[in-house]
Amino acid sequence: MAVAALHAAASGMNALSTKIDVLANNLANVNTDGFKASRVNFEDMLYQQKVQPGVENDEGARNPGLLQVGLGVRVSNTQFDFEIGSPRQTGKPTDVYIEGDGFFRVSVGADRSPDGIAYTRNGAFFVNSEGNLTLGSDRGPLLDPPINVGAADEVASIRIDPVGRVLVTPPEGGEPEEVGQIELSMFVNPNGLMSVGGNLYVESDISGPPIDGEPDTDAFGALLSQHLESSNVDPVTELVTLIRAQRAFELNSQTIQAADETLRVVSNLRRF
Amino acid sequence: MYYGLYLSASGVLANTHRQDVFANNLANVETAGFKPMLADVRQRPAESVEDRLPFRDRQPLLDRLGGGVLVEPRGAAFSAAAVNETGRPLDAALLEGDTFFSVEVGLGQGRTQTRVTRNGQFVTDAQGFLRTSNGHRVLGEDDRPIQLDTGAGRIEIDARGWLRQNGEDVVQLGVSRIDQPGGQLRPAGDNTFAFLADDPRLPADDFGLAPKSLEASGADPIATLMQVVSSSKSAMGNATMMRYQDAMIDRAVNTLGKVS
Repeated sequence: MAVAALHAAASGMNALSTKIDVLANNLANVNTDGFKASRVNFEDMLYQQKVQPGVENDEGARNPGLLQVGLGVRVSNTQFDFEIGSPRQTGKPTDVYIEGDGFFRVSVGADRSPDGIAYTRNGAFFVNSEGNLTLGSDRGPLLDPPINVGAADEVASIRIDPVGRVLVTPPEGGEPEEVGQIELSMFVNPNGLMSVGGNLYVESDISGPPIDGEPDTDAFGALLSQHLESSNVDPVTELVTLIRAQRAFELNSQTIQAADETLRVVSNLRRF
Repeated sequence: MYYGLYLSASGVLANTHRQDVFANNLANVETAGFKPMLADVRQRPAESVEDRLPFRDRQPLLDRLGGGVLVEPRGAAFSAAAVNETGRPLDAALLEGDTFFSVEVGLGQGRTQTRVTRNGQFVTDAQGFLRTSNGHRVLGEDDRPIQLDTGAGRIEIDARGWLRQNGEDVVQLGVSRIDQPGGQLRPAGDNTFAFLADDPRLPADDFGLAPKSLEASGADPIATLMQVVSSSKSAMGNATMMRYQDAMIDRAVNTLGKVS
């Protein structure tokens, strides 16, 4: 009866409202450096079999078709788009862009990551009061392994080269001194990473363990300093998808009305 | 009089079934690679014809009316749908309606079943297996799950259906052709189709594939909404007819046949 129609339409509205939530978050982060857009994937639910395929009728003929009713739709998962965002020049020497698939490693509290390590594509680093390189997000997590550029009066300029060496020029001039090496990590299945906010991702069971390496080797990608990675959200695509999702949501609400009306008429069949 | 009541009742039943099917199609209007289910009706033969009982009293007048409607068992409509470009390297859309990707679906306790899908949203897992977004392993040309060394560089699918890494061919996606898929496959949920009988897959030597794209749902939103509304109205019309006939019987019994 029309009850299946009600449930199918409700499942559609449910799944589509999740899609609208994710799209809204993508659009809100259209200017967040290092942000990766997410996509919601849908799948159809199980089917109720009303006539099994190949049933014989009285005359012994086999029915070539089958009669089944689907029970709606559900969200199968969300999937990151790890397409590399375009570089945006900032001129700040501690801003770093990764020209490949690597992630920066930072140390965070145990409340965010079980092993205390999180990963990010946002290379907006700052030098904190102790001279350590920290990520420019709300809690300022330290880069892992930590890199100390020294006290402010000992540093004239900082440079990060494509292979990840951090070079410091002292105030008196002369040869830049290497104070540390930025390391990167990669994942077999980056889609398994878990977003924890603050532009950070943490490892999960399905992402696989991190593969550590140095910039400009394998697919890690060379570093480009004085640049940041723009958000890879394409506002036009997101808006078109948003319009489609909203219209589909409305269409499903029409199904609920139609099914409700059918049920009302059927329930009023009996006259008193 | 009762005869008409049953004709109308069959109309209500058939059309509420159609409404259920169309509601599911509309709910899946954003599901990639979805194929809408068909819900046709057919004329039901008159009772004397259906039961083949020659000795029964025939009603030549009523028999001409037939026996109402029945739902026609049909599968899904497997025509190719629109292709939307997504720009993601592991998305692929098949261009012909009779070509499919093969996947391995786990049934629990180590058992697996081969099914086909039109949904080309692929991802790699922690072991490097290529999976659909629902988590089913994707089969290669040799009908075995595809496993890749994801540390070796970015993976992408090209227009020939090959997975390429660092500009080199690694392994080809298993794409097969199924003749008359509507009679060979049944929708099994999770964007997959199971085989009705024997494995109907034939190797597809030459197929069209759009890389970095996805096939949209085969359910057209406007047409599907029209189907939902029209099946709803048909059910309501038939229900109203039932009420009229009920009223007629009421008259016949309680007014016409009243003994002062």
